[in-house]
Amino acid sequence: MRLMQRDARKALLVLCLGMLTATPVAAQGEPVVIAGTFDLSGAAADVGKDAFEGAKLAIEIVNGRGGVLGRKLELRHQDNGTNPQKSVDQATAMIRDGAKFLMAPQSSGSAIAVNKAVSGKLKIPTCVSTSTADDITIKDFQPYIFTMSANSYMESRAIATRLAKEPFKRYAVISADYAGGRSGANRFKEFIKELNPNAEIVVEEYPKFGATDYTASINKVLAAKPDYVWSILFGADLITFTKQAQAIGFFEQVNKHFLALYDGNTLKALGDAAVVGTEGWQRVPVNIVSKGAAEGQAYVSGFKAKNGVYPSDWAGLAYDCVMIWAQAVEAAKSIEPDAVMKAIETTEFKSVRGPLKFGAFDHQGEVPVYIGKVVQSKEFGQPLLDIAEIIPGSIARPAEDVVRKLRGN
Amino acid sequence: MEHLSWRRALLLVLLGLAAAALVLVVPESRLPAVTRTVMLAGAAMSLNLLIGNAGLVSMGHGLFLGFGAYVVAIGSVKHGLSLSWCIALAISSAVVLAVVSAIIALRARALFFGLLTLALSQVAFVFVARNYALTGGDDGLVGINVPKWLDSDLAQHFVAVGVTTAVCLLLLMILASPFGAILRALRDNPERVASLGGHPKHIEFIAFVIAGILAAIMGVVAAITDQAVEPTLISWTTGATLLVMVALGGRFTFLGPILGVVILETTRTLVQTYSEHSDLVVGLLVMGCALAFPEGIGPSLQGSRLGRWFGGPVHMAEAATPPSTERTAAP
Amino acid sequence: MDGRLILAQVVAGVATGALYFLVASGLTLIWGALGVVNLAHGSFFMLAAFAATTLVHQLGPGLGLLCALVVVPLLVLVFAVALETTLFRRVYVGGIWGQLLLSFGLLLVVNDLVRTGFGAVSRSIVAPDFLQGFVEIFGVRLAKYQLAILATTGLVALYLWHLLARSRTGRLIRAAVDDPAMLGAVGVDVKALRTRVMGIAAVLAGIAGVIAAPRGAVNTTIDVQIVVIAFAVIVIGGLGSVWGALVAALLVGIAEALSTLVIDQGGEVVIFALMALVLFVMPTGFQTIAGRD
Repeated sequence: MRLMQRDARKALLVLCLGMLTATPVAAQGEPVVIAGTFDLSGAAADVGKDAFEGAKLAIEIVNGRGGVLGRKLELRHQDNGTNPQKSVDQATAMIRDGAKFLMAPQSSGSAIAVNKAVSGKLKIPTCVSTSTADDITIKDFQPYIFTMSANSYMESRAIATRLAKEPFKRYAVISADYAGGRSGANRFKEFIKELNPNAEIVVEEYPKFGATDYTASINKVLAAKPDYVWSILFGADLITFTKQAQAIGFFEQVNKHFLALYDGNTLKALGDAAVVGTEGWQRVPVNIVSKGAAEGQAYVSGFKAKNGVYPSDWAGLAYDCVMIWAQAVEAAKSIEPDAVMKAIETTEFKSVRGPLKFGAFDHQGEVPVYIGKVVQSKEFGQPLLDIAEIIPGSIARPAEDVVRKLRGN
Repeated sequence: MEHLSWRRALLLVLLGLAAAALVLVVPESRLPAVTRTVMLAGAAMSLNLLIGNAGLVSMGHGLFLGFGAYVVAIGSVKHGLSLSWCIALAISSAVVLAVVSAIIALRARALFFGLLTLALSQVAFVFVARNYALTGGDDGLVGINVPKWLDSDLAQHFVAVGVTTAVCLLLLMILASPFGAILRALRDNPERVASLGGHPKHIEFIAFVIAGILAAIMGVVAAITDQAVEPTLISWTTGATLLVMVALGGRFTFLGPILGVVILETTRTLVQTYSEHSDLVVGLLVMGCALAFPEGIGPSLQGSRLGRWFGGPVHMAEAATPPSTERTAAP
Repeated sequence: MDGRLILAQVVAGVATGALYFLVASGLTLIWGALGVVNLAHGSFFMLAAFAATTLVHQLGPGLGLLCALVVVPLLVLVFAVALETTLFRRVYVGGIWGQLLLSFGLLLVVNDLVRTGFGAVSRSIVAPDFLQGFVEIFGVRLAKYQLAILATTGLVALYLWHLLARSRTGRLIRAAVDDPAMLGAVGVDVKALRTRVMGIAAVLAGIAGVIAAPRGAVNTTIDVQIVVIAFAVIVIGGLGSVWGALVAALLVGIAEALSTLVIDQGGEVVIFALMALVLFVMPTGFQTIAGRD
């Protein structure tokens, strides 16, 4: 009887100890879920698909190294059809089902909605990969967001800083008519006048997004005789504009003093039609990152091996989102949101684009802006930007007092 | 008619209770998607007052849905008004919008009426998508403030269900009233109504205004449950989607639109969870329905026991003879 | 704003309008004459544009575009006839509702398949060498490619005129526009006529898709974009009227191009405003069809 009692007590003790240790053991075996709501169909499907591929690759690489804190990563994703409300619903659902990290959707409208309605509300670390909307880190900032793309303030500031050193005075501004384009254009106008008091804006054009005919804009810009044409055109808009402008000799007329957001996909699509000698800026230029930091090299070669093509900018931004979060988790030794966000604020990370820090007051990634001239590259078999200047994020980013002022406090 | 009406009203309330009870079955994380479906169901019901009962094929119903939502969003986000003020403002200004667009749209007949409503909603869409300072442009407006008691998925679901049920009950009352009878008579034989001393234009006008206001009310619900708005809500895509939902569910069955919304929205949401081919699946589904049930799924349920209980047609007799206005378009 | 700028705008507007005409003329025929509403008409345009990019990538700008101009409209024709005989034919009985549902579903399906097959990233092809660059007339630079679009559209319009005025099919189509009920009564095979007109409409949209491809980006948004504009053109031009559609297409193209000179927010609002205005003033469009409202 006594024996049995002792045995029972021992068994109970073992059971209790077992339970105590069992919970962490079980958790260690379970993968950490990363949630992603991607624009896989609808208007931003081109960007969404690439971002998805970038995220998948990052997770494979992290898992290949043994995961984070000894746990594997698992990407759960849904297609939001480029719809903000769907993005919010899907992100909310995936987080409630246990995801520990959220990849924000690609289009700005959706990213803004998820930042406010999901990330802050559910206190979940969220990475904005592609949207450049200032609001995310400035007006609508909440402590669980961090961004991997230079925002529109930074890009415009970087470009204005570079152009202000040039002798150009008469600037033309062209942007597709959408919120992000308008805000980029407004910032550029403000900065170029601030940094070069002689600069003036001689014409502004805002053709509709996805326009099929740019003759009016082209002719109006030419008629104003600008020294330099600043544009924030990209993707389909840049392709259509380039062809129609090329046809009537626009680029010769402005001495190729034309600037646009030449992302990798657009350059590739343009192919022979890309206007060599015009300028552009880019977020993750494959020709630079593949020869830069070890992380960049691993990323480009990994992507090429997996998908057979070079990665676009959008893939690189999403890839960095996962990688930075994984590093933050390792630094914090925890996947708990507050610990991870603390690590985001205090750690110097290794990114595809080199060492990377985040502003403690806005969680804006201090990523560089790459500016260069269009060339045809034999090595990559497509046109590329021959990067002439890399403007560090620490120079282009808004300082803390500027951010506070813009936030109105 | 009265007796029928009571049974239907009871059925509607039961249906509403069932929709509310979904919170017990559906996992909490999926609730916002269900709430959204309920909101769309109310919008589709309001559209069917025009399509199924007045024979007015509106393709721009998104105008009212989006308008209601945007007034609330602008009031709350841009001017910091309290929600009740926003709602009052939304509904009262929707009356004005509905009256003005009724005057414009009802000048055209049959399919031209539909295209005119489409044009109106597109003009409004471009206005909203390009007025960055007022509407947030294509980024929309996020962060609509709701009172604390409304700031939960559960409360928002109940509000959506409550308002949708109320809208359906109101529609049932309208359709069971003499006005509803005139409306249908007008759809089937406008000359006869006119010869009996009715004013076809006035009747259509009233129907259009009611449908517009009800859609704006559903737009208010959308603003409350999403706490955000974006311009596609106003565009023709919303109008066309609602139209397809009504057509799919069956425009001559009272609850047909709800059936259409539930089928299409549930399919899309589910497919999107697993694949990027929701367009393919929804498209094939719609094509299949077009071939199998060109008049919608609702009417084909009518023969069955389920269909009778599901709430057979308000006007079974008319269902057999397609209204004359449509014949003209399809010789 | 000087005269030359306005002239350049008008030419650009006419070239854009020409593309609108090619898509809208087919749509107005099948709708006006045969009561078929095809929301997926823009899908023919998009498919043709994607097919053209593939051919040009394979065969080069000159040969590729020439091949595309011959082969692609035929492929689109086969596709349209197959759709008409297997699917559309089954839903005519129920009036417009079956057609609306069927073609809406088709629009989604084709868009999804094109995205899967060709990718979501915009595609681009260059025009043949001899069509690159510009000619200068009265000091206005006109893109050669725009002029080529105009010339092609002119030829197609001539052929269409010939078809409508001289051929049996044309007579039947005109008869159908005037009085659809009579057609069946006098023993015309309406079934076969529908297939034929659907085929003609698809060929027109196919040609438009091919010649539009070198002009700008080709992606999965152009199907809806063009079909919505085509509906506006039809409404303004009058249902079933090919020549009304021509006038309306040019009007819309020019209004869109000129409006960008005065308002800084793109031209699409002008199209819909014009459509709303025309319908408000003339509730059945410019051309009223006898016996139908």
